[in-house]
Amino acid sequence: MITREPLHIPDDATWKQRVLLGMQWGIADVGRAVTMGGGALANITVLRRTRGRNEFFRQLYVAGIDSLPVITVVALFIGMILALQLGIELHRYNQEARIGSAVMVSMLREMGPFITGLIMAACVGSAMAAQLGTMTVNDEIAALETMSIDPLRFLMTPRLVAIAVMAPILSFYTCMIGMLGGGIVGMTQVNVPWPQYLSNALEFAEVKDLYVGLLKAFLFGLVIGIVACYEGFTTTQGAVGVGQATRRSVITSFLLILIIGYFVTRIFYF
Amino acid sequence: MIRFDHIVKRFGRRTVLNDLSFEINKGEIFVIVGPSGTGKSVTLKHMARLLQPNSGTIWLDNESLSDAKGAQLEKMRERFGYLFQGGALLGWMTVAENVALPLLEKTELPKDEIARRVQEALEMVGLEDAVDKMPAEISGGMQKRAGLARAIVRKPEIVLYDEPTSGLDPVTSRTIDRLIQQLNHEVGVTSVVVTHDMQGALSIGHRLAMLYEGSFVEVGTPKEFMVSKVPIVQQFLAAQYIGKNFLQEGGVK
Repeated sequence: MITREPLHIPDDATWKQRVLLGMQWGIADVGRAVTMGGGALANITVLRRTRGRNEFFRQLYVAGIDSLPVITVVALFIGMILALQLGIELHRYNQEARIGSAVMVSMLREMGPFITGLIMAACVGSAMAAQLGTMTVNDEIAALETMSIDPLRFLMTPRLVAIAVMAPILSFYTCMIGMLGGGIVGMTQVNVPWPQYLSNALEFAEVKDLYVGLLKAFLFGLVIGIVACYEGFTTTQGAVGVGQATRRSVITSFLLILIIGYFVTRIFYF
Repeated sequence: MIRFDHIVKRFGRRTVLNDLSFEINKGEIFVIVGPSGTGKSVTLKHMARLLQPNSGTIWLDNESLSDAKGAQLEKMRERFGYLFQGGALLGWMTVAENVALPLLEKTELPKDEIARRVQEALEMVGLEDAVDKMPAEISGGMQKRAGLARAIVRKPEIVLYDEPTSGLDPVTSRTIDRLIQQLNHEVGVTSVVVTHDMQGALSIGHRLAMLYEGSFVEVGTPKEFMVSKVPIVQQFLAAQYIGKNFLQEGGVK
């Protein structure tokens, strides 16, 4: 069974037993989620079939196009805020011409994948957890199992691959829109002409910044997909459970994005 | 065919199935009745391995269903059809796509044969006009009938029905009852029905079992059930205004 029975803490358990039980369940959750993610990726060949491919493209659309308006607005304003703050500080040293490189490096290395990850966790991951959670409490997942249709292959693989593919694409888009926002502020507020802003940005940015950023976004996409699907499949206790699963999916994804982001930076830049 | 061997199932501190043992024979209609919350659906879910017992073994033709894994479990499950209480249709697929799903995913049948079998299954449940409708566009009763069409489209040996007539009008309920009988008579499908509807249960069941506080307090033919001295059985019959002459009068038409 992919679904989970409700977990119970005995009424007479001491606080030590409760803490131990909580830790035990937490570790079991991590193990099951990783196994589930591995199982879904192992079934990637399902995307060669028409039904799997159609579902994959549908999920690409949901993950990409549906979150595009939010990402555009957030990325634009993050770029503008970055350029404004840096412009004010650098102006004191007559170095405002360098805002292009500062915005570019910040966006490529950290802000692009980070913002993309958070928005995807909030928009796409939450919707995914809620949809699968509702399917679980409505017995739709159980129905698939009784038909011997593997829910991982049928539902999780297309979603996981779609979000993992879309995250780096959206991250790159976020960086470009952020750069555009920085450029607009550079031209209108900090007196840095667009050609100067752009040439400074391209002069200092490295290919490594780009690929490390894209790698981060890919990992964030994978984590969001695994967490959302796991929470959805293990939803219990009806509508309340769906709400809890959605909330847990967003919180866990946020925390993992921060932790993974730090370690990837540590590995590649230190 | 299906044998429960000392099955115990607990949810936390609550024991739902308490040392439950029984056997369902090939080709019979076995009806499980009982008050709400006594574990009827839990019993049914064990048969499809949607739940795992805390102890005991479930046998399907001398193979342990409760211990089966991977390909063996998949093969065993392919022998079952399962009608869920709410139909459990996938919301983003039409009625016809839902019914075709097990054939598309688990068989290599050509498309025209799949279309023919889907049409046939939908005609059996009286939904031939709803093929292109989405589940949200049809009533709860129609969703349940579509779920039944999906459960039988692969022509399984065993069909498990979880409250097949709850929430349906009396005419549709009797249509479903007749369909269960028809599948049993014509194709020899073994049926396990969980229901509150005593009239339907007495009319279609070869054997009935009353589940109460985790175990069967009465198992027998409809006639034996009618003369049962077990208080909960008598209460159940009385509550649904079923008199002693119910079967002599021909049951439910």
